[in-house]
Amino acid sequence: MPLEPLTVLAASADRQALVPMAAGYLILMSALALGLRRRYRPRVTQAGPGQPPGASPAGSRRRSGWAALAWHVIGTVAGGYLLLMAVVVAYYYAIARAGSEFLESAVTGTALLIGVAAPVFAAASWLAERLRRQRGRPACQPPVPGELLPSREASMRRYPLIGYLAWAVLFGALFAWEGLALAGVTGVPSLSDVVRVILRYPAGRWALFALWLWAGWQGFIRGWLFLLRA
Amino acid sequence: MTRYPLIGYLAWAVLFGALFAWEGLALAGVTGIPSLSDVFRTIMRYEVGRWALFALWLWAGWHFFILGWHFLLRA
Repeated sequence: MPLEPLTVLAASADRQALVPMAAGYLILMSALALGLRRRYRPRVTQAGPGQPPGASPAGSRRRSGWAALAWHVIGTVAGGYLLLMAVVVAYYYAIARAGSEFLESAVTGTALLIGVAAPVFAAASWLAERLRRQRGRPACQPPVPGELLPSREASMRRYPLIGYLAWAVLFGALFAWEGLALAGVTGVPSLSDVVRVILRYPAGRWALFALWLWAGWQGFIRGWLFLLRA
Repeated sequence: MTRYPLIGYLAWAVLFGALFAWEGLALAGVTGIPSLSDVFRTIMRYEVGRWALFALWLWAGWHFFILGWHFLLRA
């Protein structure tokens, strides 16, 4: 085989591996940097009556009650879904022309996952709230009708920057290792290879799917006490 | 399925072990270490960050559990 096609092939593999990894890491770290900037800059506005300092999640400043909740959920799902579709389409057309069903699978598969996750999240939230009430613990938020924002925003602590930097380094190592695997470095399995090994057994599949659901619930839903609010 | 040397899988185990260990230190209350939830909360202070994390979570689910299955598109 002539050398030129090999070089092109290697460059293409590098592009397919490194661009998504680098882009993903950069997007995450930029979002972290923006959040840290917001957290560490001095406050110039005062909190409103009944509103704890810092309790103003993005996108809910001028909304309250169910409107805030609906905005939060719909905004997160729609925004995240559209962002993912944009990235997938860009990846498909600019970097790797995967199989013809790739785009259709992305559109329908992710929609299916949202459909599966939504009732599970609702049930988990309902159960968590019931358990909290049975234990006699007060809800972490005063039961003001119409105020459904998560209380966790109010209890955000500040840590030294080095603590966040350590997380950035750890995630950087994960992304770098995955990048090496996707670039075809010998002996380095990708995360998909590792997951595929786990998915070979039903128990592994169940555990991993449960972990995925838990991560979504923990990250995007938990803390919202809307289901059993008076 | 391609077979890789055990050391490759071990490296992943070490990386995830480091993540879990750091999270464990944070949850144990070691001063100055934010938990993963704190990091995510910081990222989600802006809508774009929330979208990015949700997209990442959704992508992970699709990539690991759906991609390759054609039941929805079967003729």
